[in-house]
Amino acid sequence: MSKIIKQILVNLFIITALIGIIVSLSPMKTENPDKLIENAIKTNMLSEGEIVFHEKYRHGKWRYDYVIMKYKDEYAYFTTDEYPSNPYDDYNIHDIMTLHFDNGLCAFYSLMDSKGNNGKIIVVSQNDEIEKVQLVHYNAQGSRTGYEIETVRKNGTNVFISQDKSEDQTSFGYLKNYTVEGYDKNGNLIAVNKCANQVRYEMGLYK
Amino acid sequence: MKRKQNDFDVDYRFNVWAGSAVKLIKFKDDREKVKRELIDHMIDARDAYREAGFDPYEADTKAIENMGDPNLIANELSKIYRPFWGRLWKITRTLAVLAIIYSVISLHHLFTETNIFYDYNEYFEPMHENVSERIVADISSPDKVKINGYTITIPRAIVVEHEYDDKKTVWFTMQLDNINPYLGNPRIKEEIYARDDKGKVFEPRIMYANDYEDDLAGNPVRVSPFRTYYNMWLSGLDSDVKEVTFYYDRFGEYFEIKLPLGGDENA
Repeated sequence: MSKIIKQILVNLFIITALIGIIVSLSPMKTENPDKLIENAIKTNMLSEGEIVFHEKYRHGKWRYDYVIMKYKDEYAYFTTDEYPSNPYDDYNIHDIMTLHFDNGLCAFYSLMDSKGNNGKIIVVSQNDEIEKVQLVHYNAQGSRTGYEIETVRKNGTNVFISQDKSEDQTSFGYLKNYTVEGYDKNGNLIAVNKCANQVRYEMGLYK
Repeated sequence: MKRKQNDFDVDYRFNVWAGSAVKLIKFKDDREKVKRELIDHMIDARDAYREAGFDPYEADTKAIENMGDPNLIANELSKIYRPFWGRLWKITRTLAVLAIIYSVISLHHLFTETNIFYDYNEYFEPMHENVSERIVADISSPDKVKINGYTITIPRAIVVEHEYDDKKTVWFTMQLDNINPYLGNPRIKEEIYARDDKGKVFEPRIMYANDYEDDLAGNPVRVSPFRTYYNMWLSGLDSDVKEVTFYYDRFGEYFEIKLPLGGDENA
């Protein structure tokens, strides 16, 4: 190999190495979604936990991941997303939060929607007997208004997600007036989370 | 063997002949190198002729004649020495230099520290005038916690005493260092809570809470792959509290950092 080709290879190696170093120092800009989830687990010190729920949404070029982690009786939730159209903000971790339970139920609002415009209510249950979860709307006087949000249970998990048709009703401002009700397989009401009246974002924060 | 030459040792005609022979080589660095080699050949031949008894001028002439027609040689050399590799080398060399410069600038930025702590003059002086507060201590925590690849410290804190309610607020900077850049930008601030030496617990502030009194709050103010700073504050401390401990206890991970509040040293 001639000397000049060796020099070219050395230069290319230097360039590649330096670009590699610079890129690797910006992990948030370069990770793929799976790597980003791994990164979120590490940077949130959740490594001792296990993933109990992982939902992927794909909409064209946009990719979203929703993850619930569990460690003993502690739960954490976060989302990751990818916007390939924006080179400066390709990957992100959002909505990292600890889930707080009231009567074994925790409900929270998430932008679980491929377009990012509407959200869904996610309900996590610590009670295996709960087969169905419903969100019931109360007015300021404490009376049921008749508005109810049905949820769908994700197979093999204790995670319930509001249905698409209820998206308009479960937007950020409405959630605070809902109570979460958990029913067993016989339709008996066995758990109620009323904390939705106090906080919007995550029901059950205040016990 | 390579010998040292200068222009006075070499017949002017050697230079002319070699210059003609390399004129079709497009890459300048190659052209100079080949010209030097050709002249060396002619010098070797000239020396041999001189040893054989030819006079210097005749020896030079015969050495040039032995090399042949410079135009024919030029055509052959132009086929051998293509400019592509030379130019590629120059381009890559330039890119490598630019990459090194860019890296130095980038790395310098990564490690550069500026004053990330609250600006006393800007932040506190107006506050003193309006709400009767005064700084009673400028301190740091002696603790250094290592957990999960992070080294966590409190390099600076100030204690502010309120005259209007006899309470204290601690403003502090929490620093998280990590060697592994993939651990950059840790998000554990919201899970840190505090307890004072009288047993009062200060919960982390939660978004959209109704009451912001007596809690622990803050924001990340500087994030780099190797270091993250949170500027935080703890409000609602009783005036006689001497020490605060910050805790993280979640998902099987635990650490605590003590912060003695001092109070004797006036800032």
